[in-house]
Amino acid sequence: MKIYDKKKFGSGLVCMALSLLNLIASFWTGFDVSGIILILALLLFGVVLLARSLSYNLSREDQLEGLDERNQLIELKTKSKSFRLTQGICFGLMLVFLVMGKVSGENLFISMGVGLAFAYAVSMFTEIFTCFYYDNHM
Amino acid sequence: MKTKVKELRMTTKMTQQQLADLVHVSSRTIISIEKEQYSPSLMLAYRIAEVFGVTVEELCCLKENKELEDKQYENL
Repeated sequence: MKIYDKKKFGSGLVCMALSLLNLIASFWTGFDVSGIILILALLLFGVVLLARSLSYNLSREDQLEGLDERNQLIELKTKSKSFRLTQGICFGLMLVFLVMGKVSGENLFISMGVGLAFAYAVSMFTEIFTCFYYDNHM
Repeated sequence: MKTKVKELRMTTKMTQQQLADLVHVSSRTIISIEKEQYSPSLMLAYRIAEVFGVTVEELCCLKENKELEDKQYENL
């Protein structure tokens, strides 16, 4: 038996281990619907990943998919768009929480607003530094 | 971007999957190129042109596309 995709094989093992740990933990704390779904999903995901990593044809298919230029562009655009959306949501929620905190005088809302403002500031700084980096390296 | 990929593929009676296998991309990439939703990279265009025995200029209708792009710049 040969492993054709070590990264995928590792991920499969991690998923299987997490599923097993969840199962052991459930014996102590008791089983509930969400726990069972999580165990089954992790187990299924792990089995699929292991099977793909051990098959030559499936591993080659996955590697080709990864190298496909359209897929790379889609991944890039998806990440960029999701970053923009997250930034927008952070900013919107920050304003909402700060206004709610001001109106109600509740410190919890102010704290949440400040937390989101911090996250928004971090995202803006990372964007600026990333822009500088690519401006100099492209 | 307009290309002659579909036209040339039909002429050679090749399936999208066959062409995709020859140029090492997924069939979805070929479909997107044919639908003019995706512009191939220079290397992919060269690979496809090599399969059909044409030049990249011919495959990608570069003259025609350049004229269209020039018109867009004129309208700015």
